[in-house]
Amino acid sequence: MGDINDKAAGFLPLTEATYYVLVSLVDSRHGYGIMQHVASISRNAVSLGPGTLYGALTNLLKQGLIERAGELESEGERRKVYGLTKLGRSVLALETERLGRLSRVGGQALKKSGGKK
Amino acid sequence: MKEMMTKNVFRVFFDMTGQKEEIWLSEMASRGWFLKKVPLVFYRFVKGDPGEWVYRIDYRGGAKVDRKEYLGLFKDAGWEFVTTVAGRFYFRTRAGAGPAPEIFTDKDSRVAMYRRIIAGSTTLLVIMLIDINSVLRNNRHLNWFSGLMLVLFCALALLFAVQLVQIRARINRIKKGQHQAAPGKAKSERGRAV
Repeated sequence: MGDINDKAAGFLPLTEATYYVLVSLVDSRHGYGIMQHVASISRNAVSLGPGTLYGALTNLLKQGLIERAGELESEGERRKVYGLTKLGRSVLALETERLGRLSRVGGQALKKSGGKK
Repeated sequence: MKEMMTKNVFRVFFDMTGQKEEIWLSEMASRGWFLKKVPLVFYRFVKGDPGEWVYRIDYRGGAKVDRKEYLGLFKDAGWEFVTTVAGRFYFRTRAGAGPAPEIFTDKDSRVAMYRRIIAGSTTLLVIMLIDINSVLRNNRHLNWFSGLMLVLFCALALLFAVQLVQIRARINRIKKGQHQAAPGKAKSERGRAV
C-alpha cells in the first residue's frame, strides 16, 4: 500500500482540469458524461473544452491513472467509457487530502486576521 | 438544382499557431464563404448564407489520434469538424452573444499544443537544413535551378526558425499569465474555464 502511495505522490499537484476529470471518473463515464458532470458539480462555473479534455484523457490513460471500461450506446452514438485505476484513485485521494490541508490552513489564517479581505 | 459555388484562395500564414487563420476564416464565413478543404497550399471555400462562426484549429502532429473518440468529443461539445490537413484539425461552431467558446480551456493544454507545433516544425527545419547542407556539398553541380531552390529553402528555414522563437516566447507569456487573447478568443461565456 505504501508503494502505490509513493507512486501516486509523484503525480501531484494536478491541474484543475485533471482533478475534475478524475473526480468525474469515480463513477465510470464517457467523455461527454465527464463534460456534463463537471458542468453540473461546478454549477456551470467550470467548462472543460474538448481539446483540453482529449489531452487530459490521453495523458491519464498513458500514465495509467484511468482505463477503458467498455463502450456505451446512447442517442445513437457509441462512446468509450473510462474509469479510475487503483493508482488513479490513490492520486485523487492524495490530492484531495493535500487540497483540504491547504484550504484548512488558509481558512484559519484568514479568520485569524479578522476577516479582512 | 443550384450548383454549389466554390472558390479557391491561395494564402500563406506565417503564424503557425493558427490564430490569424482562425480570425480570417471567421471573416470569410461572415461574408458567406465557408471553409471546405485545405489541399495544402490553398483554401477551398463553399458559398453559403453569411453567418457568425468561430473557427478553431488544433494541431495534433504526427501522433496517433483516436479519431472516432477525438472527433466525438468535439461534436459532443458542440463543435463541427470541418477538415484536416498535415496534423491540423479545423473546427467551427456558431458564435454566441458572449465571448467566443474555446477548445482549450486551460493554460496547460494550450501550451501543450504549442509544444506539439514546435516539435513538428523542428522536424521540418532539420530536414530542410540537411537538404541545404547536401546541396552545398555538391556545389560543383550548382546551376540556376538548384541555386534558386537553395535560396528559397534558406528563406523558408529562416522563417521557420523565427516562428519557433516566437512560439517559445508565447509559451513563456502564457505561463506568466500575460497571454493576450486574440479578438474573439476570450473565455467561454459560461463562467470560468479551467
